[in-house]
Amino acid sequence: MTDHLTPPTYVEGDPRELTLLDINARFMPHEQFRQLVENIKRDGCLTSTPLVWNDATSGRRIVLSGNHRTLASIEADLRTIGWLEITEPLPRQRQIALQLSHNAITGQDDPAILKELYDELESVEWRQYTGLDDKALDLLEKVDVTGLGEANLDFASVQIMFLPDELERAEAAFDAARSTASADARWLAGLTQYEPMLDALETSRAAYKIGNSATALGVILAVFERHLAELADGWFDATTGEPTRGGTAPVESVLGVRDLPVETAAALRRAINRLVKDGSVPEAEPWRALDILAADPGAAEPQ
Amino acid sequence: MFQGTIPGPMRSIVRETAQQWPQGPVYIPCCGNFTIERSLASMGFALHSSDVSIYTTAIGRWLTGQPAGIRLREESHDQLGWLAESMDDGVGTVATLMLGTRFLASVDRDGLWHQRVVRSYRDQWETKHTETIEKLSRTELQLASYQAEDVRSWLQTVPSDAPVCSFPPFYGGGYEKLYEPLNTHFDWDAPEYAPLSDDDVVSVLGAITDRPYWLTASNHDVEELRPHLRGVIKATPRAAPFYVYASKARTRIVAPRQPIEPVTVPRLRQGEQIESPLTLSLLKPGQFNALRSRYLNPHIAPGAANLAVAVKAGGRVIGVFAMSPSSYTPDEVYLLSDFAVAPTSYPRLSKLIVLAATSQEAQLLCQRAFSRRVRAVATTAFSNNPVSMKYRGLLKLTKRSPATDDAWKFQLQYQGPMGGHDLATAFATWTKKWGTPTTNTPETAP
Repeated sequence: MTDHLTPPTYVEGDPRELTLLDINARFMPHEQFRQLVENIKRDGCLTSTPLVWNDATSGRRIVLSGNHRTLASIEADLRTIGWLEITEPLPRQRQIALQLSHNAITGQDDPAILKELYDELESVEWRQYTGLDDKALDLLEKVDVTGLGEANLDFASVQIMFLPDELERAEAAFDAARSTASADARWLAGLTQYEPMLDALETSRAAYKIGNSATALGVILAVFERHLAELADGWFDATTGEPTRGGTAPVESVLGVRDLPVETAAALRRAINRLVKDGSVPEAEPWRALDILAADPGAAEPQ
Repeated sequence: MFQGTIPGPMRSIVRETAQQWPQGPVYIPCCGNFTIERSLASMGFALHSSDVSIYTTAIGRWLTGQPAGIRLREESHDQLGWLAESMDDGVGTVATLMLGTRFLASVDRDGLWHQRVVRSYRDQWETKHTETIEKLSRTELQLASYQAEDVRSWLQTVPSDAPVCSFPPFYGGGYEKLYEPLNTHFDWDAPEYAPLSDDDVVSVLGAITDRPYWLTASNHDVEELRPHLRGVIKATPRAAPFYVYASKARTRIVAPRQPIEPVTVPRLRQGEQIESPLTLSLLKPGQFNALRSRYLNPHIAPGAANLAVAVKAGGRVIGVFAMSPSSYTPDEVYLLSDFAVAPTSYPRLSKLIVLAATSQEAQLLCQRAFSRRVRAVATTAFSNNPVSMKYRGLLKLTKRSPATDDAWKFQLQYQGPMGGHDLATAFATWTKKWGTPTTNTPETAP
């Protein structure tokens, strides 16, 4: 069997009667396809010819090359187009080779000459017709406009990552998550806390009718602040009045607040100073004054 | 603040066109954010500008050494008295107004978010005001004159042979709304003017184009100016185009181009049996564009998706879905696009994509992407049938109306729950109900 093809013949017919490829490696983005349709409408005909194989076995005329042109000609409502038609039997291997070669062997543009020719086109319509544009060809002048704008608010971005419990998976997940976005700080939490976190955000949003996640988080933190004393559960048994563990506890979980009125703070400061002065409390550990106050509330009173 | 800003390619066209204009004065009515002036800066023109807004006038007067003439309103002193010290009738007033565009709309508004915005600006005011003044002081833009005046009367004072360059507003009301928060809290010698009527637009265009050198642009394709069309700029397939008209200019076009990134993962092919497990993979925008261009109807103008996901079965891509957060219902997502690869041996494959898009795994991805609880999904189907076969049995038809797109008969709204099943259950359900393959094998061609 020779490798030569019998020269295809030029045939005209209704593009709707052609069979388009089921599997075509070539695709055309929406905007290019729309331009192709516009061009065909403007021309009233196809200006390049698809290659069609007339498969005598199935009776179908299969478009090996020019599928988008054929589809666009239907879209442009052409009743007749011309194509090159192969009528001899074509093994599947050769069909694939023909299709791929038509897609791949297309030559290359010399960018300088391409720009030169494109720039000769004077009307906007002909420039659009080419499917090229001035920005893509880098023909637009670079303009650096001087800034006339206001400063942005300072803000910190925080990424909250929810990780699985197992150390190995958690480390891998953290590495992967860290690469997804830049942040000023990253907070880690267990994956089991993800759902309660979403619920808490949603409830805050619903309660205050807010859509912004950071604002909703602010609500959650405000509620937390109001319930600081409940954190005593972490170290204190309210029934026995005894600590449940060693170490230290946050002062705010004792008092329920982070700040004191200055008058109260000053009175406390004075009492501590007195206790330090009379040697009841070491200077380096002024908080031990609270031990004395707790044991004997009257001890800090001025004598 | 972005008002009056023109896209990058337009600035290039302005600068390129102005190279053909004689050295001397150039007049810019409706100058907005001075983008035309900034594009022409350093070309040696004497730039004369005008506009009617408080924002533009503050900048214009400062650039021409005039007092801003803008004061905090008496009735705003209680709330915004902390701004008073920043109002120096010069660059300090300009910086105050510029920063004001960011937060004044939130003053007096209910809601924690608005309170937070105002509080943040108040807390950081001194620093941000100083930074803005420093930023403004670096500008090289110089104006020969600025006049707070309506385009109709100002154009009558412009010499008939001087170039005019302007992108006047072709829509009524928009700018007034934009500057409303500034006008609420600041008082100034505002010029009186009436919004442009259609006749006014024609007469303004006439006054601009009736001269040897001019350039204007619009979002409208103005029939009368067609012979002077010099450029079309369309940023995205769904964006409104800008039409550029000029007395004399090079023609320039900028067409939308989707970024395309190849997806090399194999696809399910005809004759191949679908295999579990079903998995989801996030797609980058370019990858989503590539798959959409390949498999979706080319009639549908692509829009940007917030979250695009490939559905894979046994490692092969079987389809794609894309989601956006709902603007109206907090716990709902909008299924922007869903499609199956083709051809395959499974005529109901698209139902599996919908099942994957409503799975617990998809729900987790949506929640992660949108930082909110997601319980429901909604979508719109365009169809010539009164129901969509793809969504039938999976989502609930909530509304049927005539299609807004001529290519279709019906516009069908569907809604359903998210996360009612996992991917494994989705695959099992689909296999049992809709997974019967056709017996056809490909007859020809790859």
